[in-house]
Amino acid sequence: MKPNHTSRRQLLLYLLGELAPGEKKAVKEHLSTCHQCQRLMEEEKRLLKIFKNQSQPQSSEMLLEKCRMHLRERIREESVVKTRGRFWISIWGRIPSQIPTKQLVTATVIFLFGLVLGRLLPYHKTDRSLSSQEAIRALQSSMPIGHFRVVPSNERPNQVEIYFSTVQQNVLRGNLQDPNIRYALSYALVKEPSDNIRLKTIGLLEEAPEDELVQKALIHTLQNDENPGVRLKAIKVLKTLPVNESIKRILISTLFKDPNAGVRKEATDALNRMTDPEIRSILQNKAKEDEYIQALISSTKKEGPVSLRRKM
Amino acid sequence: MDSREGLFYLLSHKKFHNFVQTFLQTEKSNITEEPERTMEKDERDLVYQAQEGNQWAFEKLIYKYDRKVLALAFQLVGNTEDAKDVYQEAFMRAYHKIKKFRFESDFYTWLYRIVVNCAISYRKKRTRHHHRSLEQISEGGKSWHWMPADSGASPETLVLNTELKEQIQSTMDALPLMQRVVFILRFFQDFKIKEIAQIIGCSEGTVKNYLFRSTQRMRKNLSSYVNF
Repeated sequence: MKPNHTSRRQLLLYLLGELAPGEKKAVKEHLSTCHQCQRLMEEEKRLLKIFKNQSQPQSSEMLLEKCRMHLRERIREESVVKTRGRFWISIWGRIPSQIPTKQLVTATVIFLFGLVLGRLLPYHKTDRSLSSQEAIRALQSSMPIGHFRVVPSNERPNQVEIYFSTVQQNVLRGNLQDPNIRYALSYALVKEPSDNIRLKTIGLLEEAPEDELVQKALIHTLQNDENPGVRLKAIKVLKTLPVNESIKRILISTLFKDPNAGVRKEATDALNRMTDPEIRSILQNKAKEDEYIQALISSTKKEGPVSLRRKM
Repeated sequence: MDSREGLFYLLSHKKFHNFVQTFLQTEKSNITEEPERTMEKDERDLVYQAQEGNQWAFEKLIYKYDRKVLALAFQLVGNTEDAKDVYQEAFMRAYHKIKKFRFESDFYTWLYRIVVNCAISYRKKRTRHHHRSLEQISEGGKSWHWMPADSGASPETLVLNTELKEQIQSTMDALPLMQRVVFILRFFQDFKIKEIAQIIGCSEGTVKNYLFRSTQRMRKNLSSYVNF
């Protein structure tokens, strides 16, 4: 075939209408003059006509319906499986749309990551040992403090271990000569909700009652503690101290206001030892309505200060 | 030169005349060309609904195309049982993937692509142990009927046509897989080359090559029937 003749490929595409406009025009012009290519085109036309006239397979209605039925069943089975999974999707859908999903997911992931990391980190397993300065800083800070535990040290005699939790569990070790230890114990006495710990703390502070802070803590306890046992123990410690104005005031206040008879009795004993005329006059006035005080005053006049064991 | 003279000059100019002629010819050719199949609004709505999980909408979409799909599957794989399997597999694949359909092509192009891919993979799988049993052939005879193109043909023509059909069928069976696919899609499913390229996922040039080679093979094998 001469190079300027139209190829069979081009003729086929021309007859199928698949040539580009430019090519189509060129083939058309060539065919109008070239008999050889016209003959080839006629052959291609006949061939295409055969294809066009070919009968098409048509599926029977029964076959089609069978296929459709089978497909419907499969889709139904799939949708049943999907419905089980949709429960969680519906829960997800109930989350208010105002909450941005991505941020929610990110926050949850970070939270879970933090939780896992927190569990893995070692500081939960051991108590953090603090220096006394660090302990005081922690106690003086505004962070919540709790779970005090005061125990005598196993390693060294005359030492005490004070456990308390801030963000983590801490331990402070030392003896009562250390003012920071006394501060921590005073703090525990005032703040700790456990009666046992407060009682134990007073038992320790008994050894260093002269400290001004300790005295304040004991006075506060006597005034405010709900447990009469703790108040009783606090007043017993205060009784041992040299009398000063604040102790005198709290003892008088206790005598008049404390609801517990035992505590009032201790206050009376403590006041009865004082020679202050103001105190004596208060006691004498009180003795008019209280037989115990009356007996106490009269026995004191004869024998000096005594401790009566009778219940009020 | 005033505006009237200017307009007259423009209208009488040869270049303007040629431009008008070309424009009219282009418009005429656009009108006479077969309109392309486009996605109707109803079909688009059905697709949206099916994507939201509406089973009814999906079934409606299926019923629009499944007769043609089954015929195509039969032509591609060559027997009823395999055609049924391809039909099931293709529509289940479409059911799973319809949410990923992004309207970048027509729905039927997308669907036919799935069908053709299923048929190709099915045929490749079956080539190793492919055999037709007598039962399959007889069942195939009941399940399919062939619509004659010329119903008023003489008995001789009908016999000739039957022979011709068998010859075409045997030639098609002998064609390489992709040539066979392209041949069927162009001559039996009336797809344009551009659409076939989208369906089988290759360039238009490749499709043209497949088409030319398959037609040449047909021409060679059918020469005794058409006196080339």
